[in-house]
Amino acid sequence: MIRLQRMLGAAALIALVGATACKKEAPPTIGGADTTMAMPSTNLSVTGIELGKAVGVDKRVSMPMTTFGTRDTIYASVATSGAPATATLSAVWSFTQDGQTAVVDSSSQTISPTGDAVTEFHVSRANAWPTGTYKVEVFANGASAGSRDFEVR
Amino acid sequence: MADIRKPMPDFSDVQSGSSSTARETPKSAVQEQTYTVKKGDSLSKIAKSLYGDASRWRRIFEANRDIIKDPDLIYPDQVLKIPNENA
Repeated sequence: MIRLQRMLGAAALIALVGATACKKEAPPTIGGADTTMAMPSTNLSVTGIELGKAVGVDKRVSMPMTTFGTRDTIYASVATSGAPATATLSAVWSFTQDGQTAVVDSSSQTISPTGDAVTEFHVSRANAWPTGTYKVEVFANGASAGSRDFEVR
Repeated sequence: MADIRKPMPDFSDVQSGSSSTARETPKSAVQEQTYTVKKGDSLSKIAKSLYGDASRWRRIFEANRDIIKDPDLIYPDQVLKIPNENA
C-alpha cells in the first residue's frame, strides 16, 4: 500500500513538473501582426529649405519668403531626416553682382539627430544689406544639398 | 574699354548663427583637423588652401602657439592643428 502511495505521489510530481514546464512555453502567435519598428536611416538627407524673417521654437520659418528688406535678419530653415551619430550642416550665403559672386558668410552646425530635425541658419548686418540677388547653399557633410535664391530690395 | 563694374560690397560685418531641434554637438567636441607642413608652405598658403582665405592664417597660428614661435617660420613635417572654420 505504501509502495502504491509512493508511486502515485511520484506520478503526480512528474505531472506537476510537466505542467509547469508547459506553462513556460511561449504562447502561440495569434494574428501574426509585424510589430518591428522602422529604424531611422543613419544617413542625413535634407528634405527642405525655406527662407524667412523669423523662426519659431520648432526652427521653421513662420512665413516663407524670397524677398527681404535691407534691414532684415534672414533665416534659412533646413529640414532633415535620418539619424547619423553626427552630421555637419553648412550654409554658404553669397551675393551676385555684374556676374561676380562674393561670399557673404559661411557657418556650420554639427548635430546628432535621432530622426527628423530642423536646423536654422541666420545672417544679419549692422549696416543695410546691399540690394540685389543673393543665394544660400546648404551642404550636408560637405556635399551640396540644395540652394535657394533670394532678393534684397 | 575700361571695366566699369561696381566694386563688390564688403560683407565683413555680417553676423551669423545657427541652432537646431536636434542635439547640437559642441564645436569643441568636433574632431580637429591636422595638417602636415610641406616644403614651401606658409601659414597664409595653408589658410588659403584650407579656408579659401589667406588672411585667416592667424587662426592657425593661434591654435599652434605651442609649436610655432614665429609665424614666418614653420618647418616641413610639423603637424599643425587646424581649427574648425567657424570655431
